[in-house]
Amino acid sequence: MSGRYKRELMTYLLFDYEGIEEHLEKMAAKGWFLDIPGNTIWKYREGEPAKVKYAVTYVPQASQFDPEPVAEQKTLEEFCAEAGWQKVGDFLQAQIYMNRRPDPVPIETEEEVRLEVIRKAMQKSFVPANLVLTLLMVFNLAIGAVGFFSDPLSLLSGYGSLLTVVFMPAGTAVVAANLIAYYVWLHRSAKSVASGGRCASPRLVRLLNQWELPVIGVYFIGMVVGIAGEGNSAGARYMVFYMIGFFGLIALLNGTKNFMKKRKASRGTNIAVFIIVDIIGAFIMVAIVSWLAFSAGPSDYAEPDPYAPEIQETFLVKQISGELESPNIGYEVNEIKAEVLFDWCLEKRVLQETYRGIYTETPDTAWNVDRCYYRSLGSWEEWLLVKDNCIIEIQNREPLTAEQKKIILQQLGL
Amino acid sequence: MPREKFQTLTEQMFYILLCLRKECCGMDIMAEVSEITDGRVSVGPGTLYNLLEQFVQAGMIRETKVEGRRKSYILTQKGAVTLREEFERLRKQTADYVRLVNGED
Repeated sequence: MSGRYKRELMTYLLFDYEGIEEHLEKMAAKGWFLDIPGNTIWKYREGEPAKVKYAVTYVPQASQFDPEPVAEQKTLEEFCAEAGWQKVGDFLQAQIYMNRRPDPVPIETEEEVRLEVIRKAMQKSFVPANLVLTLLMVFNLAIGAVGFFSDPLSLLSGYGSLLTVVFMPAGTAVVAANLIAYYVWLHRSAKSVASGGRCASPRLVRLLNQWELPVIGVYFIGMVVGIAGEGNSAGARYMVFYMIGFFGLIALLNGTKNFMKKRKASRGTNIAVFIIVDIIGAFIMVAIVSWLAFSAGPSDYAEPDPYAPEIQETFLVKQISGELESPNIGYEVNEIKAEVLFDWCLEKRVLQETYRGIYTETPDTAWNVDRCYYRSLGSWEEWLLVKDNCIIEIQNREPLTAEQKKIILQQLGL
Repeated sequence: MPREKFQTLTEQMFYILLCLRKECCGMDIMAEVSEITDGRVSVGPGTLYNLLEQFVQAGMIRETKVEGRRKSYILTQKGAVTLREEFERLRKQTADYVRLVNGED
């Protein structure tokens, strides 16, 4: 034995015992034997390639926070040892065994019993965790949707925000898919077992799950590049540091849990410490990441030129905003490249209520545009102009003359 | 119509209960079932462990002694009745087969 080790990301869903078994057997045939099965990273040690059998069974009473295996796990281990099955390790409620005999008696020989045990085990960890995550994602999605549908132009004009708009529903779907996949599998298995068959095989979900992380990784890189490409290097740094901090926090939490287990802390104490470290760790992580991204690095706003336009552009919208010196006005020009979005974006801007109220259409011919909307509060005026495929917003403190309006449109290139 | 739990017994359930007519250590049941059936029926250790727990909860067997983690069990009255009823069901099935198939022959 060379003493070499390697680590691998575990992409199988907890209830996919068949996928885990097949994978471990393939690894063993190549000379890699499971040493420590973590919740996400599995460690293998190198050995002589061998044809061995792996089996995954479940103990619903087990918990990752227990200082040592519970009585049920130990009793099961003795039963399995009688049949030549040697325990390799466990993660969450899953127990992994190996057998070197050529044709061992399987650990599970009755599918109805197997299904019932899996169902109880999933109720313990997989279902609650994925349900909470799904609800959080749906909540975030709802908040994002409210923002998007009230002011789509702000989100469609930058690749960072645009990708977030696409990512939120996709991310929610991925998280919800794990839960849905489980219930579909449970239903199909119950139907199969009721007529004397075996539990269903979640092959499609297994395949999708293996591509999940690479796709998310590529998407994340795209978002960072998109945000950096808009000149928002601080925002891009924040995202990168946040991901590093996130994985660091996970490592800290796993280390804390294992430390408490070695100290023989009870399950309840371990869970309590875990939650406390998680909350405090998250706050500290965000604070450090924010400082690193926005204070410690080069600033995008070091020497702002008050009259330099800010430009954001995607394949849907090009947005130019800034101030003109003379006449002194603030402006935002949105060029809507996708014709199908124009009316909707216009409606949302016109109806967007601010402390100055909403826009009303006005026949001001001095602007020489297709349509003109206006609102004001005291001496503050706001104009929303429509010219060709552009939506232009102008803010001014002093009333504008016809000549000034002509100059403004010229300076904006309209 | 969905079957009520233990309304009918699978082969493995049947032979586990059969072994427990006499006090028997849980772990020894695997070998016992294989011996009784000449290797035709195998009970996996995971299945055996879970079924023993279910039988205890259903009141069909009870623990008689515990030596460390080695527990011994024996059939209760309820378990004996369930076993008998399953035997009667199988006997009637066999009789129907003999009557109809031998009748055709």
